[in-house]
Amino acid sequence: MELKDLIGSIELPKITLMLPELIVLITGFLLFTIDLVSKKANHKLYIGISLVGYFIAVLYIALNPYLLGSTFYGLYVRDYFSSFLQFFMILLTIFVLAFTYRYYRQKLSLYREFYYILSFALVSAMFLASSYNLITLYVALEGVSISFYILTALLRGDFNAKEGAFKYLILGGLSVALASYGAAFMYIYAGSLDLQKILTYSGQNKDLLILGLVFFLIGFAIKIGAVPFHFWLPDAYQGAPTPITAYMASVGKLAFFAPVVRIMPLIQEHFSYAWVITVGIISATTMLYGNLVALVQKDVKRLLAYSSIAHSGYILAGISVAKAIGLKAVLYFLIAYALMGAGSFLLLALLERHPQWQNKMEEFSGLRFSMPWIAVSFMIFMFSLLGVPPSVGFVGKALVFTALSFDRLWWLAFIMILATGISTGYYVRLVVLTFMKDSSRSIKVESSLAEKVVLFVLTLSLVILGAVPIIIWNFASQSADILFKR
Amino acid sequence: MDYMGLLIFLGVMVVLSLLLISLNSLLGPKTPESMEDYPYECGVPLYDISAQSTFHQGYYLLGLLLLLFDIEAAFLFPWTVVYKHLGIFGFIEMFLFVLILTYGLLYAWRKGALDWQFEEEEYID
Repeated sequence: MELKDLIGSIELPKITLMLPELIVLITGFLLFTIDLVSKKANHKLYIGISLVGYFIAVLYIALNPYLLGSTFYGLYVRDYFSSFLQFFMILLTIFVLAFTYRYYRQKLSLYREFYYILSFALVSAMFLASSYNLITLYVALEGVSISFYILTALLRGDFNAKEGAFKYLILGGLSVALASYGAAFMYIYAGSLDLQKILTYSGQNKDLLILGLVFFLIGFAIKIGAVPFHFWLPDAYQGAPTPITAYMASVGKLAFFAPVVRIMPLIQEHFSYAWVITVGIISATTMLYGNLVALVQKDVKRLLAYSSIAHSGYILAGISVAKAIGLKAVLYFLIAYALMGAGSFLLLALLERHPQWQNKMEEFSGLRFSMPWIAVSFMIFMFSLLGVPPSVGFVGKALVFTALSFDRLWWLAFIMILATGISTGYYVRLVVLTFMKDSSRSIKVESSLAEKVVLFVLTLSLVILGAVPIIIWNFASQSADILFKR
Repeated sequence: MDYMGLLIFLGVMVVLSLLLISLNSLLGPKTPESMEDYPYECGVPLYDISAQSTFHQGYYLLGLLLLLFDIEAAFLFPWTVVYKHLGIFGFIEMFLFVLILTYGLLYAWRKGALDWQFEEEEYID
């Protein structure tokens, strides 16, 4: 194509499609400018501006859920799936923001950079959920990752945070390198950067496509924390400031799973059998390893990090199913885990504000006297992570199990039940320590109204969305249908 | 079976390299010297025996900034070549690009990355 034709074909971007991202991005730049202009602006101002921006964005998505279309020459796609995920991403960011100020003040790490790095992470996560283009995915992946490295390290005088961030940086850099290497092979194969075109293209040299997909997906597997590639995850989750751990376990999980879920129907058309076997084996090892190692942890934050690995395994089990029902189960479980992970880590963030709190398991005993509501909420989070019936975790696991049975993947279903059985060991132990053991120590933390409201909403949502699963199921099922029809 | 040759090649490669490395330490002459592990620094005795002293983080920040603006220059060159064809569209795009980078420079300036009078970093909450 001649350069003149190229310029002649310039189309005006459809701003309405990507307004939520733009609002979040503008919020981030506004916070950035305020930080440049005044060195001593109040933290309340930053939180206020962030909240206003995020609320406008989330309202826009909630009011226009059926926006559909692509702009910037197919670099950006908005459909029901991206709106669905982005809604929860922004909502969870708002929840995390409620806990940050008091936590960082207690840790003497109040940095103004935090607020805009958080919004840059959010906007990259949103882009990750709404593109088929390799370049956009790459840039968004880098955006989320770099923001996460910085946010992980942003704890004053804490060497664990620096160590975790460094490990995350090294393995995250490796993952991005692998993903872009795979993207290069896919480009050689199809001569296009659009994953839809690449995966529907019938070329001669299928080896290139397989090689490209393998590298690309290994890049994402590192980010997700699937087992042979999980080494950074426990250290980064343990070292990071706890609200950020909550953020990585909720928004991060949603963001890194989004592209995999998005291209999964397209891959399954070509490589149904190989896909089932590969993802199935990775999922089985992830579930077993995560739960077995969590069993011997003494530190609750690290335990929850391993539980996060195990939950990645459950989600991957759903992804391995080569049918639309698998995708629906995956979407439900993703949202379920985002809520559970955010809730459990945010609760730890609240407790960590106590100067003597060290995240040890024994410290939970006695909590039921000093902070009864927190103890109850902790119990609900643990039971939901375990998958006890009226909770959202149970419905998620049941849906993944149903999807596995539809595809007759009995071995994987069996391993999933086994892994859940193993996980009973540590979740129930935590609940028993909280409610059936007496301790002379009593730990009491003052919590702000916003923190109480967020924990209440998260706890209630686990029960309500579990008791009435149809609320999320409707959205998940619609977005899965849209992805499969393409 | 198609890849058997490759597999054998891999095996030979690993065995051969292990063999050569171990042969070196087995057969090589050993002359213990007291100064053998002494780090070399232009022939003068070391100021710091550990030779693992840390650099001030200002050097790394400046290195990062240099990299940032080097890459900016690398992007500007192809833009100048096609500037006439791109017209006002290209001008606006590049303006936005440079603006965002300038924001980065302003940030570095504001946060004191360009200050070379190294002092104890201050903590403002």
